[in-house]
Amino acid sequence: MADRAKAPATRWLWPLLALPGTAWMAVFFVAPMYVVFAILFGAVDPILRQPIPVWNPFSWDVSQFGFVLEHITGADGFFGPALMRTVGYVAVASVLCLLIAYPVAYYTARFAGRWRGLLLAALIAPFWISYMMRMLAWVNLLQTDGLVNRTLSVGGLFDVHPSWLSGRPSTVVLGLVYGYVPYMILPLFAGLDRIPAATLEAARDLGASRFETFRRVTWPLSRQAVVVSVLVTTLPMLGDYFTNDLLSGSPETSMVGNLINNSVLTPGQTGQAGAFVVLILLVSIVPMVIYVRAGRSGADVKS
Amino acid sequence: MTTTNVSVDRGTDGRRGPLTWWRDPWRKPRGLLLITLLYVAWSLAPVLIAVMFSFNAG
Repeated sequence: MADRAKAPATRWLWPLLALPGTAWMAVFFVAPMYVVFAILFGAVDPILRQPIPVWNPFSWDVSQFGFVLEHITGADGFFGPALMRTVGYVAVASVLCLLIAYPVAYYTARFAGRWRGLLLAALIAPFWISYMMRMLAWVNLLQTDGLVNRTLSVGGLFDVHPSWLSGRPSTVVLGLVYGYVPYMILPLFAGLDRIPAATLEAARDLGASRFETFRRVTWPLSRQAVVVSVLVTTLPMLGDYFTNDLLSGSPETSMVGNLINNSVLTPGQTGQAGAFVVLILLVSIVPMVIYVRAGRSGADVKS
Repeated sequence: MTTTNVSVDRGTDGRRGPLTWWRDPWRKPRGLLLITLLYVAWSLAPVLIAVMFSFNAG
């Protein structure tokens, strides 16, 4: 009876708590996304080459989206290489980020002891410095007469002058890894910190080796944190353009973010930028589904 | 905290060999420590070097 009396009072509690977040998403995600669709499927002013958004979905014109799709593959597929490059760079950078971030987060969560606070401060320190400043630091270091080349040539003893900033994929991947590793470490740290130490000690007491303990206990328990951290870094990487602009600037290494930036800056091609945004959205749905499935299986285990 | 008795082979001077150290299941994770310190240095050094030498060079 008491539960029944409480029910009407709490009935609106959860919807009310969800209201601010829902309103935020509606204003700052759904509405801007609708503007992108209205421009993508809209028209272009024939004289000024400005986009004319079409708000009525029944009047949408798919020609701009079709133009982008037609030029991804085939003889005229000049958008294809940039899209494939984006997938390649982001995949390699994400794997490298995980290989760096996981041990660092694991050590900080489990073994740092009294240095834990200081170590966490050092791990958070990159957040205090703007992303652009961090990339500009690498631009200075990687110049032809920069510190990296001076170190490699041992003060002029050897003739080592690689041009790191003239369209090298390795430099772009380095920039992506350097820029996004801190974003991966924190969610991983939060996930690994929550693993009960008793489970690991039990595995070791029962005869599991270090590798077996990691494979059978640590990795399964941290899998959801890994998925979250990979998502948190991979999705921004997909739309990143300034890392490439600063560390390469060459069309040989341009990614889909650069295509979007170039399309927005070119009169009459804003709709194409919208098409690339939609393509990124479609690609990013796959990891989102994986994340939701991982979260659901985690809930099943808890229940 | 659970402790385990591990038979440790020690030399005549009382120091452990590298194989014994490797087989010790409760050894300190020096590899993880090294990776962490290298990462912290790598994450901060470029900005510090650039601030000290390049950004202030005019």
